[in-house]
Amino acid sequence: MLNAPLDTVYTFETPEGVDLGLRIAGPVPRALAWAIDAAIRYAVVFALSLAIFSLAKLGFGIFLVVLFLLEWLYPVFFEVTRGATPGKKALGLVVLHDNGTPVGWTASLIRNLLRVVDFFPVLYATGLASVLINRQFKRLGDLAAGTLVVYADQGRTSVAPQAAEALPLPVAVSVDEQRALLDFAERSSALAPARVAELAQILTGENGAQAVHMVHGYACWLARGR
Amino acid sequence: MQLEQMAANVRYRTSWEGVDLGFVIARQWFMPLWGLWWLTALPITLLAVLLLHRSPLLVGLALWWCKPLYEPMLLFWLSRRLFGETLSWRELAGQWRTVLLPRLLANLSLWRLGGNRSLFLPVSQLERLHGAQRRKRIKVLGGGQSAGIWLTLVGANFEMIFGLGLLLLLLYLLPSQLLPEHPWLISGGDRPLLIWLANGFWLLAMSVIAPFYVAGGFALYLTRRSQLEAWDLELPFRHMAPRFRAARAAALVCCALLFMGLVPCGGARAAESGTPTVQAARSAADVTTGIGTEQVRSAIKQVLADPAFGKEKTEHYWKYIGAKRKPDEKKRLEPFAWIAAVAEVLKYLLWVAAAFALGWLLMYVAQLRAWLPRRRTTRAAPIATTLFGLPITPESLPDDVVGAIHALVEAGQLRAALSLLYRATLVRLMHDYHLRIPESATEGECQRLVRSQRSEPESAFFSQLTQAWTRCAYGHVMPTPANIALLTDSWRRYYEGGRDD
Repeated sequence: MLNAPLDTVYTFETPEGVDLGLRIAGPVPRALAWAIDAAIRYAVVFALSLAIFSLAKLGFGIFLVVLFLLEWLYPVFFEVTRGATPGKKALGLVVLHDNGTPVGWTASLIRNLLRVVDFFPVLYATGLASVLINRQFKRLGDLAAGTLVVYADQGRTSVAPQAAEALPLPVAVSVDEQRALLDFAERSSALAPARVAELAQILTGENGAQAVHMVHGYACWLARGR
Repeated sequence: MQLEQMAANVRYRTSWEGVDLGFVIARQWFMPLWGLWWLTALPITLLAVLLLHRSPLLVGLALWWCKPLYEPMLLFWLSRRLFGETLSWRELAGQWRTVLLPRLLANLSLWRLGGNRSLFLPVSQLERLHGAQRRKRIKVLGGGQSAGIWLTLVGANFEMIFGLGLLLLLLYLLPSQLLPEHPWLISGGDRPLLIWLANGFWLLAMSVIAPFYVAGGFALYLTRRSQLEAWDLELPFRHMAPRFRAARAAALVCCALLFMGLVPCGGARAAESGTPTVQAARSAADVTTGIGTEQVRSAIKQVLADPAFGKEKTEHYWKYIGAKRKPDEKKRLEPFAWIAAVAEVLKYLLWVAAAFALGWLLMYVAQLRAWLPRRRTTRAAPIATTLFGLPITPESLPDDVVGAIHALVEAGQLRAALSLLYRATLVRLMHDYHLRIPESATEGECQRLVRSQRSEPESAFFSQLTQAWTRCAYGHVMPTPANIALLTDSWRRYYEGGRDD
């Protein structure tokens, strides 16, 4: 049997003893992000080639330089200055060091220069194998540079809890349990009403609307006090 | 479904994270899943090869088309394994009919190209829904996400990449002499080996990706249900429920007793049943004392008004904000203003560069001067008269140095003889050969100077002499008369003639 339940969260403990939970992104969103980036890059190259080839040899020279920069430095630039390339951003991904800090020039350069290795022999086959095998979904470039691709924490938009009369909690509850109570209040409008009632009944033992009202009251008490 | 027994963590996930969880699950049980895939795929493969061996392209296509046939077994095994139950081969074999058959025909024909295959597989296989019910369920599960379709598309691409990658790797590794001689490797001909190879690698790639695809779809299905049914709330609620009910029951009893006036002191009971009851009691007490939120707020305001919590102060002062510009004049020059500015900057840069060039030139000349006049200064500088406490002047020497040494040796004053010899050598070097020895030089430095500027045998002699002298002067090791005679002979060879120069 397994020791820890399976999950995609990688926990890094900071020197201060704080556990950072990083939600690591797997191959499917990363492949899509790469596809978006590739589309952007080739669109730029195409537009540039239309504009610049009228300049004869100078144009060709500039074209080659831009091609080189786009191929090698496009991800580095965006990862260091914005945290993620536009493609990654579209999928809510961000590149971090193993310790959760934003990626720097060195690490970003290493992980992107090693794309050559990951690309071998065709279309990132090596990188794909590495991502499937590695526990933290790392390709070889990530392993060498010590970086992670994780989901950015956008923070769920907090919906105001249902208006209800605040009800003091009858027992002490842990932080996670408090969070569950608040989540219940925030999400109960998105869930099926029958399911909401069922969940509330599990907690309180009351029936139907009465139970839901009580749990909302607990949540209000946690959110606003009296 | 026993959520507590699930091997995967229950938490709120996005659909993408659901797919990723599936990949983690597939990695965890990759080998059994891979084996299960071959269990159904291998017979189909053999059958296809037997029937269609004349056209290998069709074999590949058939194997690809039959993918929905290989996947249900994986899902069946995984759905049990994830909740802690490992199926034996016998159980699997016994249930193959119920596992494989639901919707098999639809999946193999009309819906083969449907994008959400692995997401919807659990609906027909595990929930056993069909018809209108199934459609309704699919609509709910498939809504609000696009990860299922992308999983299928990207998974197909992963297969292609792996298959093509393996094929290309093989071709890269083939010796280049082999290809031109055996063109059938590349182009079809009678034995299209390449297509068979491609089929093989493709099948291998399919088998590798299939566990990830099925587990990804299953985990996405679980995630969608978890989103819709709030599993991540159900678990903590179940966990809290016994405490909640017990506490509420206790509170009810407590209240009842209070109101009946049977217990004079409610505090003791509250303390027994734990802090939350105390909190509840306290909030009840607040209500009875009648301090409202408004009063509390005004009290807070009063406290915060104290200067100790900081205060606002307005200060006025003059600040230079620049002269008033005349926009008309500026505007007229504007198109060329930047050129002038650039020119100005360039001018200053040129001046700075010129200053640097001049400075460098001066330093260069100074260096040259340091090299060139060395000899002149050597001559000009006063010649040292004493070295390490010994008088080094021609006047201090007797006229006949060799004779004087002999006399001293015979008188037994070996030290004085050696000293005379050493001094005479230094005097000759300095005055006849213009060796510049600074007054501060040590014996060792003299030796180095001699070695750098005089001939090889002469410097060898000088070092012998220096060694003998330093031993005698500092180590009190007296030289033998024979040794002194030898050194004197050498001295004569090098310096006797020089005196006449």
